[in-house]
Amino acid sequence: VSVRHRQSRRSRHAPVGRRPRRRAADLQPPEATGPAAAPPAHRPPVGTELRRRIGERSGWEALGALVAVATLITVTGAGDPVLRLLAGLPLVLVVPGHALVALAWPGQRLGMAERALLDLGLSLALAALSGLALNWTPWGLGGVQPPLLLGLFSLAGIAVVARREPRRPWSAALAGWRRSAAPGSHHAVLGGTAAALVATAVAFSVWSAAQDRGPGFTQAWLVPRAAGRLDIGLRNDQARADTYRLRLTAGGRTVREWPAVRLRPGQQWSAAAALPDGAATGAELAVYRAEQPAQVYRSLRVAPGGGAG
Amino acid sequence: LERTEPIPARLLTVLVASAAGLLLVALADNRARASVAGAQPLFWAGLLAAYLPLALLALAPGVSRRERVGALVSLTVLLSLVKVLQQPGALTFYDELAHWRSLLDIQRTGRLFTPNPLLGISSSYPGLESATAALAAATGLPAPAAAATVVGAARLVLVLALFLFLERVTGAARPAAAGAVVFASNPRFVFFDDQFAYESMALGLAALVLFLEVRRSEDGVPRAGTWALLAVCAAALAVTHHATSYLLLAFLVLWALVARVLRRFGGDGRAPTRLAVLIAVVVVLWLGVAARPTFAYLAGGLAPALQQVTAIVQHRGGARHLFQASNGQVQPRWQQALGLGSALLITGALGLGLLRLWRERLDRRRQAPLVALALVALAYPATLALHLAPDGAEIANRTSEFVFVGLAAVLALAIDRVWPPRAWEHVRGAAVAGWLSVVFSGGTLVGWPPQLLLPGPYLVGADSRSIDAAGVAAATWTRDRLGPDHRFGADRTNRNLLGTYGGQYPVSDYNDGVVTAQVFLSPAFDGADRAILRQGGVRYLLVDRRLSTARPLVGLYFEDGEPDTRPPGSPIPRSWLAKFDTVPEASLVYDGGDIRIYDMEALLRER
Repeated sequence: VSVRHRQSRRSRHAPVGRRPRRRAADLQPPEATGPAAAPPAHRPPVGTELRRRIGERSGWEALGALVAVATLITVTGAGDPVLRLLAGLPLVLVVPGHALVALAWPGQRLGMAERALLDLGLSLALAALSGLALNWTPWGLGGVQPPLLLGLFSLAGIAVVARREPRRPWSAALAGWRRSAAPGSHHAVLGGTAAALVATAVAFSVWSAAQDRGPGFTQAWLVPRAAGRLDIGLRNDQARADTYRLRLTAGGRTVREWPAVRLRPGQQWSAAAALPDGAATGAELAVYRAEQPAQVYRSLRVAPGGGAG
Repeated sequence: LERTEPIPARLLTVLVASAAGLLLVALADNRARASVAGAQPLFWAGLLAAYLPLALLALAPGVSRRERVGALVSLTVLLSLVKVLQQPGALTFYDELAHWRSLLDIQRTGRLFTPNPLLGISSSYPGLESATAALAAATGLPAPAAAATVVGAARLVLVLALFLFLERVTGAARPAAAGAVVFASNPRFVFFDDQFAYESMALGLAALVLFLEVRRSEDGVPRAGTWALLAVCAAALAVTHHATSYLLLAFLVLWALVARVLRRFGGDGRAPTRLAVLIAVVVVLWLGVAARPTFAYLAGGLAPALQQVTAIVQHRGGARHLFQASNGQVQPRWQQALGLGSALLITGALGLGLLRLWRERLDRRRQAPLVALALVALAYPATLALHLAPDGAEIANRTSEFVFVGLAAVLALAIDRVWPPRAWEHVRGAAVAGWLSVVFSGGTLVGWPPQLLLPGPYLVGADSRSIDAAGVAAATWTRDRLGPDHRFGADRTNRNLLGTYGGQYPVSDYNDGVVTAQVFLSPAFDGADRAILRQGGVRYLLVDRRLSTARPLVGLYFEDGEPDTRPPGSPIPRSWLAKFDTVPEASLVYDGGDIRIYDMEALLRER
């Protein structure tokens, strides 16, 4: 009913020269709708019928559906990271500009380079301005608001264009594109080789940079907290395991000692200690390594009455 | 979806060769990280292998437009990856960290315009960070990956827009592709323009505005719709970068003036007067609403350079030593030769291109933008002279992208002349290949410190080469153990790390008017130092003792205008950095070996 209603309304208002929307049945091949055609013996399976109906949607309607799904995925965070990446990238970097160009330049045929430029460039511009628009709302732009706004903008633009532009089933357009753009095996090998080389370069650099940890070091800390309490800690960022001895003193007297703290690379140790007379006299922490037990490796101190403010 | 042809096999073959060059760059980076010899030759071989085949394909005669576009897109992507390979998954350039802070503030507060302690002006131009925040929220990508994606997309926009703009201005795809290749050879394209900074995105938006302006004058293009697109781009540009929007406005005014003058001599090109008015209105509006500190910021950068240039002209000031870093390190002879060769070849080609522009009759409609671009290109020799002033070199480098837009148009005419489209002449092709190689590699050496072309061990005051695991660990420790938003004093590298990884508020003369550098650059901790810390409310001091091992590569330990108190030609004495150990009010709360953090809370409490 809604299809028929929309069609009749469209035919009343459609401008001269613009092709009105056709009903789904109008899109059937002539042999299926002509008077000589025999009625189908059975109803087609539900899946086939659904595929046929989806295939009859216009390119803009199909894009609208995809944008709605992508917006849902990004806003809810559903699906795995790869799916979110595949949904989010075009939602921010391609679709808003695509919709805006279609709105601003109705019926313009654009070359591939111009299309890519306008989709990408205008999407970036809209993404930049989306922050400004959201900043002046109570919700701000800290969470999923920017992609939601861009998704809604795209959907609104697509809805307007879908009503305005002549209908062409997306499945037919896609089939034509597939036929003309299908690469040969030679192309696939060359393209695959180039992509593999680039991916290898990136993956190798990620691995190489992760191995680069510099000469290695050990972090030691002594942080005063309220009421003469101290946070003490060590972290070994060297390439090998090490054993440390720690001695905490206050007013020249040993308050506490940790004789052997062994840490593997990347491992961290922490402890809390209380000073006997609060923070009045201050405190010092000396850290020694097992291989040089007499030499202070790290030395920290809290000034009298300092640090707890 | 449009019908399209498969990608030509020749383009794919060239792409394989260039991708192999990128792999060589990755291998060179790996050798440099391990300080293994041979990294430099491998890097240059890889960089040229990535650049040259695609550049030549883009501008060679007898190549289809589709191949040219494919080569330009591939070239842009591969050259963008050169910087990514150096520090994958991290933001390490000086400006990148400042803009990352703005992005972190947006993600943390959900609001724009949060004061940025690393680069105050950045929060007044949040276009780049807004777009990156949107992408990060949509994809779940970490900030560095989202940043690289946005900048990469902006660079694609820049090169495609420039190609399509020049195609309409010159009337053919080949000179347009040659112009885009010349632009991609500018000294800042490989590294500086690929960083996460507002200019990287603004350049793309500005080029898109130029393209839309020439597209507007074509038949069948809806006027109102085009104005809507221009308004969106102009607004995005105005909220993204100050200098780019001003320079675009200046170029449009120049173009309009040229068009009016040419009309007297029979030209019939349209003047972009209305677009210039639109850009001016948007820029002024943004200045009034949110970006009032812009003029003070720009004046702070320009004034010293202009003073130095004036002093050199009047023989009052000392000129800068070319090819010598601020720490006295001199570039090898072959690098000097390449840098000079690049400038000479560009100047020679500029003359040839201008001659061709003068002699040949052009389509009248295209005269005005082309002449305006030629006038911009004439600024190139002046930027070479700026390299003689200590602060002028920075300005010369910063303007190179803009001057190269003009050079792109003029040099494309010169290339067309040297390598005419009549036949694939190998000798001429080889000459152009040699010319491109020297211009590209020499320009890259001039536009970016050679020590920063490759990763490697820690260097003092060397921006990305000063960032290592020790500095990042110390900054991260402050966030985890002390909590965010403490006021810190630190050198320029650790200030950036504290402001990003640490979430702290580093205090500086530049942003807060508090000369914290003085505290580090004095032989003893005295009353003046105490007064500075109290004035700035500086709770913590981060001291990197490695600063005493060498003079800074970029000429600064802390910030512009830091006190010149250290012994001439020497690094900071070690005792100056160790003096805090004996300050009674200072608590040494963190010791990472080279990096120490002092808590000055007892000092502040004495107020």
